[in-house]
Amino acid sequence: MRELILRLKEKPDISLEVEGVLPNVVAEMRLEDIENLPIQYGNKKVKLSEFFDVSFEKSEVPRIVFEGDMSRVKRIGWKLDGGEIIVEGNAGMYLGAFMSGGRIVVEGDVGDFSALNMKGGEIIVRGNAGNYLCASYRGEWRGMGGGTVLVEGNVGKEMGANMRNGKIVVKGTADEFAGVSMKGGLIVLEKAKARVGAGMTGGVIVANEVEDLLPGFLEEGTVENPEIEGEVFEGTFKVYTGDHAERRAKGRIYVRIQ
Amino acid sequence: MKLILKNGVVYDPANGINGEKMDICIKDGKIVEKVRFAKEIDLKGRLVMPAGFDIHSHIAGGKVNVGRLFRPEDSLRRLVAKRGILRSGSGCSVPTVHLTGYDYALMGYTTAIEPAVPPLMARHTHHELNEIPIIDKACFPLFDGNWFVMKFISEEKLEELKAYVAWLLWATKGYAVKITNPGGTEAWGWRKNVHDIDEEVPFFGVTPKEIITNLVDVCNELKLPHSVHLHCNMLGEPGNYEITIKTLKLVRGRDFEGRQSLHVTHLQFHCYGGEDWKTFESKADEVAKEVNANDNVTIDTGNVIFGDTTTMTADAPMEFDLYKLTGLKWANKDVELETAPGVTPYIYSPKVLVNAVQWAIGIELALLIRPEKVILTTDHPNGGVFTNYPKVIAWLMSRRAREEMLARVHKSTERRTVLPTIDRELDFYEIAMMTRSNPAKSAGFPNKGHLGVGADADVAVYDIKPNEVDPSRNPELIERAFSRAYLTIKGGEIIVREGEIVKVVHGRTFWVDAMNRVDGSIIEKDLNYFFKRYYSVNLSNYVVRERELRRSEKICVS
Repeated sequence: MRELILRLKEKPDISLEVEGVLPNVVAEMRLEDIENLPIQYGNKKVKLSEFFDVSFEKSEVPRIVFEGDMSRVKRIGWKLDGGEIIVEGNAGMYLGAFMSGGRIVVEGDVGDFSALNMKGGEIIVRGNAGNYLCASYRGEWRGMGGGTVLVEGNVGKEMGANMRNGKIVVKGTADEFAGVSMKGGLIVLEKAKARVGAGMTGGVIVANEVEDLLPGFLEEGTVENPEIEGEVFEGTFKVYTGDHAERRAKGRIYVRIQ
Repeated sequence: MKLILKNGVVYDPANGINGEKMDICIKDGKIVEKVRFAKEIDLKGRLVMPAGFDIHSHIAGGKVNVGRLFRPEDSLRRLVAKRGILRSGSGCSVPTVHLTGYDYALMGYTTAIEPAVPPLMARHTHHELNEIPIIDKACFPLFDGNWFVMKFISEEKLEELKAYVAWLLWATKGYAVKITNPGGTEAWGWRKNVHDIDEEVPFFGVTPKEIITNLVDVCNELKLPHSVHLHCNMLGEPGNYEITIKTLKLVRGRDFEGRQSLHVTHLQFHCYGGEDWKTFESKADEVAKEVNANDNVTIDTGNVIFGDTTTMTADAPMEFDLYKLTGLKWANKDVELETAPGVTPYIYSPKVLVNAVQWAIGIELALLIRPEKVILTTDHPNGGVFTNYPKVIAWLMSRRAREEMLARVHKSTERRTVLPTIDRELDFYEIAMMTRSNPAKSAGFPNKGHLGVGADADVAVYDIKPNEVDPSRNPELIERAFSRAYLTIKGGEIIVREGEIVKVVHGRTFWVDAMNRVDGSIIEKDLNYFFKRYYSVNLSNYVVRERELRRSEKICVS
């Protein structure tokens, strides 16, 4: 096993798309072949080596390490199905989109549409995430189907839209419409801004603080140390069900009482 | 270009050729008796048929575009990059215009008809048809919820109705009269539907029965090349087979020389028995009995293919019911005085009993109805995408393929259908009838769907040797061969060679001019009044000019 290190030579003027550069794909490839991998630069196809220095190191699992500021590099880990990707810096849009397995760790921030329609695997973001984290693709009503995502910073709008399964943990604030139209799964938040869980028909949102709840949510009482999806949350929570603007809504929001 | 296709095994039902080894000569885009100094292609016993003809496929127009716009996730499933002479595109169930043309050519099809065009959207449709490469096309304007039609019928002004039909075909550059859920789309404007052919449409007081019979008579009197193209009432409702049989009986005795008086489309959606979704069952045998006994009818099947698709019809109340059932997204459109289409995605699942029965009905119809009356379609994209035709062909030609599929669908399917009891397997001759000669004959294209002298040189060659392969034992070979044509020849030019498109041409748009058979002046007053009073456009802007068609092919009715 070996680790592939891709060091960005300089930040490109327009976005690069590294779709297809995956740990399992490059695991058995020779250095020249990896350098010749096609990546998208604007409307052109270019070689990987034009923008990245490629080198190897030993490792236990198939792994790719991106070094440098990747905020203009899109589609890192697009359709990842195994192995590990580490981004030592920021990452651009569509990080880990449609991934079904493996692990991605980002030391900095990630762009919009990260973990889009994720099916499995794990993503850890040490910084902030953009809008549409774990959301469904545009027009798609079948959202995130599994996997876990941890964000240590804040998250943008419409996180977990149409989510069906899986788990998202956010240590910071989620902007408006977190968990919009979700049907299942678990979202754990530090603080949620307005319109959290709009149109949700299933799933659970646990928040320490909620800015405002929509009128479609009804208070059902308080619970202590609830067990949700096999996990015990310590403290006293107010429970709301909703969003009753939808038919047969069974979503739940737990808000901690300070 | 001159060509000789040598040593092909030819199936040409219109000329009674059943698997004969013979040569096909092509000169100047036509089939000829003999040709000298021509390029020869040795086919070594491969299957030769006239090129495919799709009589019912929603490939252009307002609702197709709505489908494209509101299903970006469908586009994501299939992205095709620009390659050589081929342009880029995307989309599975609602492909972009260029992919539509390429996909048809790859299957050996060279003609497709867009069967539901709201007259107000005719310009849009024609501009989109202009961009579809390779295939020849035509479009059927909708007459079902049209205020003029209903007004003339309720006032019993049949001469005016005749003049209006001829005028609208001319104004929209349409080819034939399409009726979708007659009366139902107008009732939808009142948040209602019609549930029987004798139920009155609100305000106008006409019944679906009157709309159908009057338009059938008008089509026959005008001698239009294609008959009325009918999508019956109550599509997709359990127990609708009785209405379908009643509708079919309307044209008994309404004979027309040379063609049918009524073409009933996607019949599969109209053969349902049972009281509700729980007792849903197939009544394909009863409907097939009526079709077989009725000389004035042809039908197309509207087969269902399992998978994700986008349904779109000009039958808005039905689309709304479907949306209520699935809870997915839905779009609806009201086209002023004319019709109301709807669009919603749907997933046919083999695990769902209703879908499995629908799948079985499509096959039953093709097997139970006399082969000269059946046309194979999937009502693209409502039952499935047209690229699935090879799959349907394999099911029809091989009992084994059907049984393999039956084992994978809901267990109760066998009790709700008669499919397991049907042993019949079609041969290449009957498949050629259902996909070539029948649709061309039914639609009234004398130069298409056959390989006789003088026909358009539209030929499909498939990479399968009928004398060596037993289709009933090798359904997967059939499916593969029909998916990728070995040769597709359009207008005498080789378009597809060994499954690759080598040349892109632009086909013609056929339309019918019957204005010389009517007195247009008798409806002028009504036209002016309605356009001034109700339409959002002017009469002069409404008419599609012939020069807007890329390659116009006018058919004058004599």
